[in-house]
Amino acid sequence: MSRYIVRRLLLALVTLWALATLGFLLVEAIPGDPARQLAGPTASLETVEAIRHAYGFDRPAWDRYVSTLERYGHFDLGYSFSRSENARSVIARDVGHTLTLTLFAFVGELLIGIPLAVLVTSRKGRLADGSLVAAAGATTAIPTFLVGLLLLYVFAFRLGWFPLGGTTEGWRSYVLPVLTTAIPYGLVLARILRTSMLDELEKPYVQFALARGERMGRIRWRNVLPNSLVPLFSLLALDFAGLFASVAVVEIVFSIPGVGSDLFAAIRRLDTSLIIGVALVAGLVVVTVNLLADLAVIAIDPRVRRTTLG
Amino acid sequence: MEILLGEGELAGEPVLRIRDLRVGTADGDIVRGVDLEIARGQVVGLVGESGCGKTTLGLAIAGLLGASRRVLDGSIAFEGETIVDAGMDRTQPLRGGRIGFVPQDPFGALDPLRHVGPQLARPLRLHRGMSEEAALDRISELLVAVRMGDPRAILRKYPHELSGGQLQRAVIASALSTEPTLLIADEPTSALDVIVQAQVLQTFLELVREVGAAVILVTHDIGVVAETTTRLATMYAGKIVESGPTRDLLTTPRHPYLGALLASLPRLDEERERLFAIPGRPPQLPGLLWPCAFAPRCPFATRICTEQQPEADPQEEHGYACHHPLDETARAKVRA
Amino acid sequence: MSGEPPGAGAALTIPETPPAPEGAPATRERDPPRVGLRIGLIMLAVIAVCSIAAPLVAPKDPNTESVAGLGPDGGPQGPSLMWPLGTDAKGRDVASRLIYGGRVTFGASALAIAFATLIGLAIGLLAASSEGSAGNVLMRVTDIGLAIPGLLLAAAIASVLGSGVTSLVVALVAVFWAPLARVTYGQAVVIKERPFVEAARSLGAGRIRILVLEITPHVLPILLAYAALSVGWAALFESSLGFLGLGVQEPTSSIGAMLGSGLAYYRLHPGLIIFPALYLGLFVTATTLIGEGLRKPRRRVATEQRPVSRLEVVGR
Repeated sequence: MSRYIVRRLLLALVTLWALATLGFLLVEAIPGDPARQLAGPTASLETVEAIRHAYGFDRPAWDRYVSTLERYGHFDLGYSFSRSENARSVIARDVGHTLTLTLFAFVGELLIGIPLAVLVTSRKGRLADGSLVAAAGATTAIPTFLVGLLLLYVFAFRLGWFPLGGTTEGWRSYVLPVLTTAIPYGLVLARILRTSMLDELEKPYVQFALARGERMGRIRWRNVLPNSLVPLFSLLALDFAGLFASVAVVEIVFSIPGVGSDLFAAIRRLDTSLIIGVALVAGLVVVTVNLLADLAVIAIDPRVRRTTLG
Repeated sequence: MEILLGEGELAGEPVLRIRDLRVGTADGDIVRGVDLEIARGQVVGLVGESGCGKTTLGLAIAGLLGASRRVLDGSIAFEGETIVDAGMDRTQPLRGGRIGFVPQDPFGALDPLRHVGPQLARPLRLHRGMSEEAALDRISELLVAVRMGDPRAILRKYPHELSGGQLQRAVIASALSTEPTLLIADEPTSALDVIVQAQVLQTFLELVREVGAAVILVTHDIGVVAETTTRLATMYAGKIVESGPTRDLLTTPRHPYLGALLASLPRLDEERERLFAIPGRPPQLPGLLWPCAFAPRCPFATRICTEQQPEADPQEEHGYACHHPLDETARAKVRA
Repeated sequence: MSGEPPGAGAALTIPETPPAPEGAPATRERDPPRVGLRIGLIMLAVIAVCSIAAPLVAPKDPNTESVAGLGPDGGPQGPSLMWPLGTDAKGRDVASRLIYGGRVTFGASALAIAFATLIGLAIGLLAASSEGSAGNVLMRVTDIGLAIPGLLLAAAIASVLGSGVTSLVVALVAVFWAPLARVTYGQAVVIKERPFVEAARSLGAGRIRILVLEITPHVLPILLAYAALSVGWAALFESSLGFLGLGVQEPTSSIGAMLGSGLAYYRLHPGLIIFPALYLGLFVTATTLIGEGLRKPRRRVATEQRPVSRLEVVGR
């Protein structure tokens, strides 16, 4: 068991290293004076020189690379000139909002998707099937931020049920942003899960459970659903990563101070430290979630347990 | 072939009475009018090639037809009460309790994510109200009775961790744990190796005799039928074409289909250069059929077979639905 | 049994199936029409024509700023006779900007996915067909490619290459090659195990030949279905990029750019957002219908008793 975890952790580290290297290469690739880029257009010449020295732009590239990696190893992500503080503190402050939104969106996705899928696969739910496909298609044919704008327009602007943005009103501030991503993702999950469940329902263990006297409802929830979900775990992990990215855009629409809005502000100002910082954090989240998904599959499916761990 | 007469064949009220049963889909019939009666303690074999409707018949009795197939006509009565007809299906409370079911593939039959024990203990819990512990104890007792070692360890395992034979024997024990009056076994040994088959069949027979259940054994394997059943019915294209005591049917088959099936069995005591196989293929159900569906493949078919449906005489114990039943000469020809 | 009839004239040869009675329905065997696929193709064709023939279809020049087009408050105006979909903040005709913008967005998406598919196909096939760790390494790289958040990667590329259609296409390729490689790999690995591949190998075919002749034709259907879906996703992606101010810059219009610039006015003039959104939605629906339609297997029952290896047929 531990050998498997070690291997996966190594893979995670390698991924992060690749991200960091990519970030480094991109900074190198930006045309113009990198020290000036990092310092920002309004910094004085002394500041620029100081940065040039601090970041080693006056040294050969390899040296810079190694010291950059070292810095990242110590969680020193550099200085964000657009925010006038260390990138690390900006991210640490704002990542909470983003993660909260993502987590709630994920839970929301499950709460919407799973019951819908179960409903649609039951005998009475056949009519709803077509509407599900249509609804899923409609919500994914438009970009996420438009869904957000729509919700904002109707429920906040017109009806006034929820605030127009910000995080000032406690849980109410989070409802619309969470729904913006949870609904499209949830509908897609419902479609995929429905297909998986329809496949599972054909399997003989359903028939045999009925033969023992079980009721269909119980079989659906206790046996079919878990079996249908297992092949979807890696998909759910990808969903989480996707949610994380979507949430970043949603933050802008709803003016929520998370790392997403930080990122896009940083992109506009070409604040590379912050850009790379957020990139690394995002990569870390994705890698962690993938690892958790793989572990979950092992925990739940005894057949995989046997093949993976021996 | 050794034919074992079943002991404990009790007379009395039929446990199961099927009248004129038709089962099918929107495209047509699969079971095309079946009459069958089973008395207490009888072990009845239902034999036919793949696609003849025998499995569908078995499923219909247990109420397990699924969404695509429905009972179109006729009725099934269990212990005197109608439980299935074209308008209703009251099998749910009986399933697992008074009507047991043994599936073909034991691996597919269990939820791969859960331990074997709780799944096998369900019938006792549902129908006898036992606690999990008590039910597991009872199943363990049954496993010990059929000489499966360390039953508790077996019950704690996952389905894929057991061998086919072990699993099927455990499934049989579970199906019989509630002492059902009727057991439907759908090709219980088809998924197993021949060597393991013997073990499983033995377990099957022991438990069945102890419980005194009536059994419908659906199979395509004449060897199995010879060893385990007292009565036999052959099905072809959705109808029962011959039925009666197993020994009678196997020594003096009357319907050409059974005659041909028996002739196709390889024998050690005969010299033959070629194995015989029935020419042609069984018809696909649902589909268009001749009045005698076997006619295209039958060497004795005449005009009447394409015009009039043969009916079996209900008075005869050894009944057959054929215009040209086999006599000694014919049987010899078939064997040659 | 010899199979001969026993008596003269006593037996008949009876055909397997009796003749159908009068008025019986004909055989039920038919391929169901793939409605969704057809609708999607028609929609796509219409959009494609609009995009390619933009100069002919658009009522005005998309980049002409016109004071006449502005409303009384100096801002954008709603639909009117002269400007069928209204004007934007600089007095430009929305309808024309939409058509030209669609050309940019949809064209870039299609082009990028075409490249990404080629790359993904090559990498996926290579990874699947190599024994040992080489394939593993390739897929690990692909996994990393999948792990990097797309918007980030695109933003990074945009900041390096500057803005414009080229950097847009490059960014799209960088984001979408990885999932296409993974889909290829997944399919190829399964097909690799099929009997006809083994048959080809035992007939002496080299690795490349097997890849091209045997494996690729079976990978293509699923890959193309996924690629079709990806074109739609790429367009959505571009719209997000534009919304954030990346991708193409003024005065070029793209769907994303229109969405981005229309944001400020959307409460009073929702059309600035709605029209591009609808156009985009039509495109994505079309690609989704096509992709889903390609994904559904044909009803023709393919009996896989022994699929013949192409080499056998060619008579190597």
